[in-house]
Amino acid sequence: MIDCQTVRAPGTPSQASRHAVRCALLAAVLCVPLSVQADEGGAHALAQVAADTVDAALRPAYATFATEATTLADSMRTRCAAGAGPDTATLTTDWRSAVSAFAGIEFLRIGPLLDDNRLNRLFYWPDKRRAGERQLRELLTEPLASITADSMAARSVAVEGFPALERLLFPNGEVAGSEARCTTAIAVSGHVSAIAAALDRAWQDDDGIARQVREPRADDELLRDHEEVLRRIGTQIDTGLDILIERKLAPVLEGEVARLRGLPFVRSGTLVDHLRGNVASLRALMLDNGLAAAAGLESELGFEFRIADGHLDRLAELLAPAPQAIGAAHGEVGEVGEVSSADDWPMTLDEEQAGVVRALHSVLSSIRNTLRERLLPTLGIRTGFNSEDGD
Amino acid sequence: MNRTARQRRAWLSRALGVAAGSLLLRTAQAGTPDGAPGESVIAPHYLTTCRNGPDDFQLVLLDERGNLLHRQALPARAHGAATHAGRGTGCVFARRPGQWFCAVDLHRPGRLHTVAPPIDRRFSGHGVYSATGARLYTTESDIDRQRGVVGVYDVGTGYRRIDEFASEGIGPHEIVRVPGTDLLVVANGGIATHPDVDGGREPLNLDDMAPSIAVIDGRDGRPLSQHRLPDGQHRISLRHLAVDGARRVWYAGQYGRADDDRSALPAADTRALAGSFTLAADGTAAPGGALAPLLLPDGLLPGGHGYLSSVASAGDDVLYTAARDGVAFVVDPVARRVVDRQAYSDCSGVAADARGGYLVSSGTGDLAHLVRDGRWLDLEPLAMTPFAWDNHVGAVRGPDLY
Repeated sequence: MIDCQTVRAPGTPSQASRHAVRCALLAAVLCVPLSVQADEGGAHALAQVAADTVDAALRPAYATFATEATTLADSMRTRCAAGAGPDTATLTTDWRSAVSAFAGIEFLRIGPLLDDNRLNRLFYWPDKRRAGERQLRELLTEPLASITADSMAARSVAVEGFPALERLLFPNGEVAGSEARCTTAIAVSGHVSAIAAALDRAWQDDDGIARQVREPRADDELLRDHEEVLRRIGTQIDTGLDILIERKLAPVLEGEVARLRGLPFVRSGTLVDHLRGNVASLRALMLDNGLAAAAGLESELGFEFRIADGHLDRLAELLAPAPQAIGAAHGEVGEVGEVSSADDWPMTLDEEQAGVVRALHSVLSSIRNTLRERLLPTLGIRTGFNSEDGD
Repeated sequence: MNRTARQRRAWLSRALGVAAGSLLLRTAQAGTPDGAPGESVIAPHYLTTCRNGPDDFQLVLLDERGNLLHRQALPARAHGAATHAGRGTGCVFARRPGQWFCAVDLHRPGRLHTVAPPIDRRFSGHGVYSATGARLYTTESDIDRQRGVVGVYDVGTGYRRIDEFASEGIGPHEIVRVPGTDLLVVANGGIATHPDVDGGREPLNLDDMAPSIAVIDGRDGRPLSQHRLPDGQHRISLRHLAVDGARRVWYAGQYGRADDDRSALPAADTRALAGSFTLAADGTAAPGGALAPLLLPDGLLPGGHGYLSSVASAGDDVLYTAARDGVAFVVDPVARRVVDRQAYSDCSGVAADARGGYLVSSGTGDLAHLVRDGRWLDLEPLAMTPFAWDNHVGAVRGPDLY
């Protein structure tokens, strides 16, 4: 049995708060009969983790995404309109920041991101059948007046979000009239920005989804108690790690030669930015909200996340510098036969690069094991449905 | 009154036909323009069930792209679904040991018709309609005699129970019908349970399991053939089934062991979790078509959980889901080999569509369209929802096999 009275409380207020949450949660899980877990300290601790998830993970991520998406859309608009806006280097930087910010919300699959198919609209991936490429080619032949940010929502999800925008900004020799490409890029980036702004508004509203997560109510259809909130958070972490490990990294390592084919954001050379955003969001969901601390795993998981960061830094060093976005001004964008430097980005990894991907895969798998085997069971959080109790 | 009790009472009111407009949920209203259950006509492609929160389980109708058309509360967690497109009706079955199934009008949903088993029977989570849709066959357990039965219900008289016959084994689970016939194929999982022991989910005979697949004439209950795995593989509980376009019957197995058993699964058993036999017209195995494991490749199921969740066939290929390993994989039925796989967390429900692909659902709320493209299994994300989708999906408009 855990005796929280004998554990020295750390010094800083936030650490002390974490310590109190940890003690309360551990006591709730280990010291108190299950039937009364929802009462007293356990309930308070669950509420604190839920509130900190809103303040330390969800709201900041959506605010950053809205800011970066707006910056990118503004860059596109001014660059195309006057031909005198930000240069291609700035546009590339804006693109990279938006990619990273989006990756920061990709796994935060709760509330408004699930409404109106928004996640698919922002990021239609995987797209092995190249629906986005095919439909974008058709879109570029439409009358320009019909291609607006407002009209994008009525189109196929395959051309509404980042994959389509990447194809427009990094055309790789695909043919298109420059004006059409410019107009379409403005429309898609404007559409992405509008979705990002709507998500941010929804999360900043004190009486909206943020309140639902902080103060679940029995008559609320989405979240009825803090146990359900923690279950959703745990599911997001588990699912996010699965997507990152099994869908993004594992396929790279299959076969005799490591290859980047099929991964998102390879064309623009922002794959590492994307992965970094994914990892950051998982860290926020496990560490920044006090969840890992509540299970006594803050130091251990913090160390593993730092290892993951190190692998990402190393991968960024080893991969060739990202190509510049094709300049978005009239006359510069997507001229017939024009080839961007994105072609220079390697699809096949050498042994050292593959080794870093393998190491990243390994440390993330270790984090997933810690989550499944220790963190979630310690806190009594159930995530799987069919996998846990199927038939 | 606690929440569970309130939900049960609310559900009971609806089951008895009390107007449920105020209880119809927001997204259901989006799919039914007037917001009133039973008044608008919908054309669903899939019938399934989900968990929407603590003690909140629902029946759901989806369109071809996985969009929500309708949902409504169920008394408890459900498992399988059966549909008959011609009659426009469907059923969802309580998880075993089940004490109800609910029938629904697929085009004018809103009022569920609930049917209970005889006092000494429990539903096993699955059922299938006869070719004409006049009958519903359900897998059930005879509690006192520890034997499996197939219950027969007359659809036209409000699912009145009119007959039953032996399933030819213990612990029957999924039952399917051979397309174009009333030949029934029943997976007898071989695991004995009793409702009074751990809620009816504790295996009582792991050392003596005798799983089998029985082929039965649905018109009169006459057993036509029985199929078993090779000696030494009796711990593979044969649980889920699909029939492809060439009358091959595919099974999905689950290794029978106690919940707390973490021992490594024998490699031979992992490889034998999937397999098939081929039916002749008389309901026996065709020459050379005896039940045989597929020999799954090593590494396909990295977790080694010994657990396949569901199986379906769009005609020319077969798709399996493995929720515990987070994997879906497609099989070439002629070459009898795994073609490709997709990582897919907690995936379980799978139903063939009319275009040669599959709708696959997951306990994490995802819906995706999976389709074989030559050597590859492509995954197209359809929707991400806040629901935990349950084990199975029933196709209303599936491949033209039935």
